[in-house]
Amino acid sequence: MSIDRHRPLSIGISLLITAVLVVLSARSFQVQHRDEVLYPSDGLTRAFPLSEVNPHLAGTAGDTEVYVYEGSAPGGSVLVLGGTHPSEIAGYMAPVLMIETLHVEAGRVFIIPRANASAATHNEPQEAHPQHIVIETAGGSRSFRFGARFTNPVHQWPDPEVYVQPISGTTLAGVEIRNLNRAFPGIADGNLTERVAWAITELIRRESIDVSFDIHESSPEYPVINAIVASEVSQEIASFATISLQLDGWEFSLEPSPPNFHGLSHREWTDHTDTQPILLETANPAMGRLRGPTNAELAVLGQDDQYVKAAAIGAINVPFDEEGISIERRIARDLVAIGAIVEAFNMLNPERAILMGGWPEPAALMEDGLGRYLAPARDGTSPR
Amino acid sequence: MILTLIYQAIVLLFCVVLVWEVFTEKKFARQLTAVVVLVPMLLRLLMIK
Amino acid sequence: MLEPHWILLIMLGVFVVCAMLLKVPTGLSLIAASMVGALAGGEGLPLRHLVEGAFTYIDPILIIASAMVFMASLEQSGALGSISRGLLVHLHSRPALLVVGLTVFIMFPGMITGQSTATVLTTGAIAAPVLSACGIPRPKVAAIIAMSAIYGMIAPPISLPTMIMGSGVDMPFTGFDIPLLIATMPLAIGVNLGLARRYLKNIDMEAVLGDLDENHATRHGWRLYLPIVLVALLLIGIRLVPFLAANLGIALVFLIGAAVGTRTGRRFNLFSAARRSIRQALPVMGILVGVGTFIQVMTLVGIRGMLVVTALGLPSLWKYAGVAVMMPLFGAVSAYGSASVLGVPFLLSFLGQDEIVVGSALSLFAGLGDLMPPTALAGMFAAQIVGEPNYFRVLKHTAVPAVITALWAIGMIILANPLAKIIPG
Repeated sequence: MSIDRHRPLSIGISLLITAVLVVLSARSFQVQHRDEVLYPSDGLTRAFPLSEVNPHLAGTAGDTEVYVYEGSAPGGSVLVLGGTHPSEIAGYMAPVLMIETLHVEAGRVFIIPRANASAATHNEPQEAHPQHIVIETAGGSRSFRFGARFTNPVHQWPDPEVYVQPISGTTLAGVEIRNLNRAFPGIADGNLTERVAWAITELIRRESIDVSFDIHESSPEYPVINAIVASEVSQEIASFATISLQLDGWEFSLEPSPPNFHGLSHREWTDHTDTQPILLETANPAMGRLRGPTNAELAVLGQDDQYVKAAAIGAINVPFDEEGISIERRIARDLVAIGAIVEAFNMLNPERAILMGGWPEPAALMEDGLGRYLAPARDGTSPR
Repeated sequence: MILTLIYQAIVLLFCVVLVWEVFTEKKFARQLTAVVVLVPMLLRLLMIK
Repeated sequence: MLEPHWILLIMLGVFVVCAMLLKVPTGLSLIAASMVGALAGGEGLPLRHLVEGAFTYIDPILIIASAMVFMASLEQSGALGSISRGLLVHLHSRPALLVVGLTVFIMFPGMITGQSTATVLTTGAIAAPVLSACGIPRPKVAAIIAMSAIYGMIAPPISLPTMIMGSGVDMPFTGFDIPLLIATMPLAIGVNLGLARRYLKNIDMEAVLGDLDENHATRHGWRLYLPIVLVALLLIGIRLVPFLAANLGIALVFLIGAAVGTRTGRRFNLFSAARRSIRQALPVMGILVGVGTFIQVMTLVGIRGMLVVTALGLPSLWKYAGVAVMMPLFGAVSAYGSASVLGVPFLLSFLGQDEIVVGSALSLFAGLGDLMPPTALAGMFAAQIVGEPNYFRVLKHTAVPAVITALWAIGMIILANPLAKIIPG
């Protein structure tokens, strides 16, 4: 086959189109690799990279910041994990709001808002998710990344055909090898996702964390939503908390951690650490297959006509009306649940009580909007 | 990881073949088809997406 | 902004105009339809979304490309020709068994790559002269090849439509082997025997053997088949003993097989074989990119949700009709697109029936999309390899098998739970 000398024009056009498409789309993909700036409250006592716990993370896309708030009085300790799945945006924004408002009087609070930092750097193909959500604050708009469920393949690739969990031997679809919430307890020098998982498990062990939260969201048609998932060791505090939440008018169901579903945070933290694990789940229409147009407004306002129709024909598991489920409502659910569970822990362990607060009351948060309580954007520091 | 490098090499091989296709193919529509396949391949080769 | 169903109509309209009237390749037509759909949805030309959608299929594209290189290697080394020759020599006195053997032979690449077009173009192309030699008319030969290729795409161990559906509902691709065999093997054998039944009498061996490639097995012995054995071992090894077999990935396994093939039979240049096979696979790879873009835009503007809610809202009896009509129709865009967009919600809507059996049956509907004009990939390529200029003549012969396939699939869905009980494992 020889090169056809008479067609340099179409060859030139083809190569030009290739170059333009690659360069322009590359630029838009790379925007998402920039970390947004968070403004911790002055209750922050220290922050360190997760690679201090697992040196195998140093210099990788999996390294992420750990924020620590220590009270002046002794007490127990809490870990709040956000962004295990960065596409579950309220699961990221609830810890962010904590970081920017939290004050601790007794005990210690560890917050990792971007547990899978690599997964925050891309979007899942065919989901058409926005790259960012934008929140208006007193100082202007701040944008926060809307990431993906899985570790970015740019940082961990290729996937095997089937993923065999190293500890349990359970077989899963190949892509699950990049799912942080299938990788626990993790392997110190394993693949990137396993390294992150190990670092978090090890942090819990090293700091003897009493209660560990992992915050998620799921689609309104998924069976487990508006739920507090607890394992056998956290059943007691979770039950107390669920009852008190229900008395206050919050609908929560209490779900047990499946004993044989390995790789999940609550399962493996139960089996491999002394912490009491809790997973929180809110319903987010931006995650579901039934949703209408997909954009940042959907992720923030949580209003969707298709879900209203679906609720009418009984195809989903949560009540859903025109008002939708706003990000404020989802964050408020997470914060009241965290508050109630810590309170239950304090009641059962008064000698190790954790006294913390500072974040807005749920009614105020839903009334005033998230932007009112986040730190105002400061000039030149907010990305984009 | 070695496997990642091997797969990048595989992608590189296919990119070369696709570029070759752009140069040897007479029909513009087929050249464009090669282009639309080439774009995601190049983005993965460069580990951008 | 327009309502989603109007945007869908516009997208389909643009697709039909491009693909049928302007004869633009399917992949490019899908991209054009996606661009117009995004514009109609008030999204402008969202380059990031248009490119991002394709990444769903980056690994399937690598698998297809390397599978094509592997098949080209088998063809060049003489292994494939020797197999079809062997089938004919040993089975010509038992024509029914010959048809069964050829059916499985044609299906093989589909079974390991999960796609029909590569199947038609490889083993289909080799089996075509054998079938013609039996006296079967060209359009019927093409029909046999097209149907076998579709069943091969659905059959285990690799069934891309089923895998796509499974990943949509968080279901691992395990336990599907037997249900998928039930979904495909009886149909493949029954349909092909039905199509060939009138021609299974006399086979003129002299004339037939003259048309075929020489027998390379006599010269190279068992080594000729070494690449097939190696690839089979590596693929099966990954599935059966994932702990032991290094997880090389399917694409690498095929390329290893292809490389070994250069030394086990007739010698050939691997790079030029790769070039030729990727040239052959280019339209399919373009379609996958186009489908990715198309689905991303459908999700972006709300069409996906509209389709899913509509499907879920169908009353139960209508649901079977809905599946049988909507999935193959949508499969005209692509069997994979049909599996992803409609297969997943239908799978969810048959809640209570064994989801592995239902998923396997739904894959059959998605596969039938490969017979649906205007694309009709399997029918079109099959017509091409037998030299039949009008692919509608081929589709005439696939109509009855397609209906039988749809009825079989509906039967599997209805009987999903009893079936699941008797399936071991």
